[in-house]
Amino acid sequence: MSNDVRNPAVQDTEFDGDTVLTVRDVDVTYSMDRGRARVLDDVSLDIERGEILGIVGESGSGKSMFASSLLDAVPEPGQTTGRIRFFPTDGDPVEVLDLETDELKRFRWERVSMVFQGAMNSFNPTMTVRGHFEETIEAHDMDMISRMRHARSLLEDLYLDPDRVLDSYPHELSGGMSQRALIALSLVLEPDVLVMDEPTAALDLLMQRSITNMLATIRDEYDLTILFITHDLPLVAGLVDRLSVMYAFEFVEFGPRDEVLLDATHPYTRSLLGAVPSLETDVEKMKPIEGRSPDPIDVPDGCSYHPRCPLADDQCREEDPHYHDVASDRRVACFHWEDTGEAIPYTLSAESEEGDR
Amino acid sequence: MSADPPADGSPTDTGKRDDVLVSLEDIDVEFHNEGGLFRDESVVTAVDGVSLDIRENEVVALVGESGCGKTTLGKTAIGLQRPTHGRVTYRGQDIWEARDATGDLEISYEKIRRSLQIIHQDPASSLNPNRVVRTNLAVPLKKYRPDMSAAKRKRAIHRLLERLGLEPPRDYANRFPHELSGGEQQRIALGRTLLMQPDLILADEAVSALDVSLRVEMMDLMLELREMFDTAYLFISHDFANARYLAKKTGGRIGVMYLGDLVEIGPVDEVLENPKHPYTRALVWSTPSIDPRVAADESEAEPPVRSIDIPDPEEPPSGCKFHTRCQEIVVPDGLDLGQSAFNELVDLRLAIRDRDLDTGSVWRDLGVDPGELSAQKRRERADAFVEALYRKEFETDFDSPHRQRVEEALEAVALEEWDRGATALGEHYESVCERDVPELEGSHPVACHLHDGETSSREREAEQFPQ
Repeated sequence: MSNDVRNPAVQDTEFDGDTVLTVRDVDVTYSMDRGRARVLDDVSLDIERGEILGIVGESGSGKSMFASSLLDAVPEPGQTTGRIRFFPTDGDPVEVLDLETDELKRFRWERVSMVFQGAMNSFNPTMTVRGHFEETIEAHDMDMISRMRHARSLLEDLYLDPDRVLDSYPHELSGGMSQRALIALSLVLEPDVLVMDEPTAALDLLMQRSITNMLATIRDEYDLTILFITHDLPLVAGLVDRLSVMYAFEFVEFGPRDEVLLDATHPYTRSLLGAVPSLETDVEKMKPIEGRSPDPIDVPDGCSYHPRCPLADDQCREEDPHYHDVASDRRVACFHWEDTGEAIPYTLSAESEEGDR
Repeated sequence: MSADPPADGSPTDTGKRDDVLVSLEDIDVEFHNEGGLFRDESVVTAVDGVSLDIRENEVVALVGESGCGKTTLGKTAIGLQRPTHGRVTYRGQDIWEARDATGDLEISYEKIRRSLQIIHQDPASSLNPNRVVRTNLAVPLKKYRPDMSAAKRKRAIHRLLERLGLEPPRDYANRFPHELSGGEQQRIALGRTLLMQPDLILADEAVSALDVSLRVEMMDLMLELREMFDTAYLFISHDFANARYLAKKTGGRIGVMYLGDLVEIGPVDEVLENPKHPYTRALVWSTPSIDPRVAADESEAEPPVRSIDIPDPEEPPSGCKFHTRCQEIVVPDGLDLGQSAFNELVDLRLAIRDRDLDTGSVWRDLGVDPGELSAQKRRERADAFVEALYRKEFETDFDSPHRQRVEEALEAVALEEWDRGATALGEHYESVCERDVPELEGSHPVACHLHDGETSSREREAEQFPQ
């Protein structure tokens, strides 16, 4: 059943109501003195309405570029090409990369909004939190009273005391409080999609965990689609519906969360799962991944993972693997995906023997 | 390169185990805040009466949330932070007496400083950005091995780079720090530390900044080098998964800190599989599982604390400092209240004490503008206010006499008599957790009133048959 599929993510069908964003053949490149850096390499993916999708990869794998490209917000002088299409519940699809500046401004808060790590950098230190909410609502010509009421209920959902937080300046709030306030701010205009790039990095564990647990509730309550982007695989293991694993500027494997974690098919995913410390894993069985991930101007030919892969052969060194169907909703970019179970064993908990297909 | 021989003059008999490398005795560290235009002068007690022994070659991991004092305690252990109170000794020698040249000097301060080293979360901070790796690594060698020839030094550095997994060493030796990845910089920082042949390395969030995929590799390297050089580690982390990995591979201990206190410490399996302190349990809960079958069950749950925010360390709570967040705060004897009902009462009382109730919105809901409240109006509408606030604050439907007491307190709030409200409730509902500071005790020591009076059989024996 190893069908080669040219066009990776899914068949490019017309909008069927369940897809909120389609990403097709998106490249992001930077021209540098040392050469051309391709920091997103021909990426395609469908994002389903109402899902929480986890995008996992190490720093420098391109995951933040992917997030930025969804809002056509790749930092200058990066060049974004390809097609990103947003499907609203009401009205015609939007070609994101074709939007004019003022359209893009509206799109970014009202359709797709984004939360980065370190709320302190996103807030203006001389303005109260209330000021930030009011400014955002005003800039989008929304009704102040009903929106501020919405803001208060969002803050309460995030275990914050609305009055106290709204009247505070950012520096008067703890890191965890300001990060939650930022999440509330990003939702005040009721976007369809919330993109979160390492939103809980630098927070304490208890706060991290509390926030990720809140996200599931918020998704249900506000009909959101959430993209959670992180290097911290365990953080999203309990949260997401689907996982997409990024390596060297492309998605190497994606599918439903349980299948990807319990029975990963890509050699990188399997090695990663065997290298992540947790409270259950048998420490004697954990192994770091050999080698280093590549520099964007010097990505290996063929499969970009081949220098680190125990299964690599001549084909892997020469040909870029296309996606193979593992199941109808799972894809992997590896020629040898059927053999990875035996070649790269891993276990997630001390007792059981999963991961061996 | 070999490990340092044991210090010459053996430490005097202090009555401790003779393999204690560093001993912290009843340490307080206070930081004075000068105050300024918008701030009053204040004192923060970063470490509050902590005692801890680190043995030769031992791995101790300290875990806790930010502001719990773990880094300050770590820096105190290696002589980088002078304690406000208490004693720090290295192999029996008081570090600060050595520093100030007071008292008997068995081991010189220079020797102590060299034996106790640190690697930081940000490795770049310990490397000179304008010097290549070889020059960076030559600094400690020149200082501590002045007899070494340049050629020998170069060979030693290349050998170290190989051991650090940075090959080919010639290539790495000639790179500048900015030409290395974060993981590679951290290796160099660790290598630089090891060139001083320390007995103890304080690793302060040393793997936290690395991608999870690189952490095991770095920790394995730390352990390999520990094997070679017999180094002990004091590993500071906010993350139980990393602490567990290091401690489990070395049979080490995990200590949990909260607002300056060491609240629980013990062998790694004891602490993680049988956590005794409710705070430790909350931290274990918050450590995500990578196994989706476990993780999904937990992802819906509410955090096992009454508040997810840490109190202001400048005004730490009385008694057990965790009582403002603890879900298992001890119900006073003789009160016929369940745990969750009692928790609600405590929350209300603390909120009244701190005047931290949103009364404005309650008045507004009653159609009263809180800005125009006269004493007369407050009295007139007090009953309605009490009922509304009760509904807002409580899930429990209290019976008498609790109901009357609560309503009385809420009425005091309606009349702006906060202190009366707080005192009225305090009389009946004060828990031992608010009153008394729990002692760290037991064979797997924990500082929590839930475990008051639990002494191990070994300790009981020791009490019965004192030496």
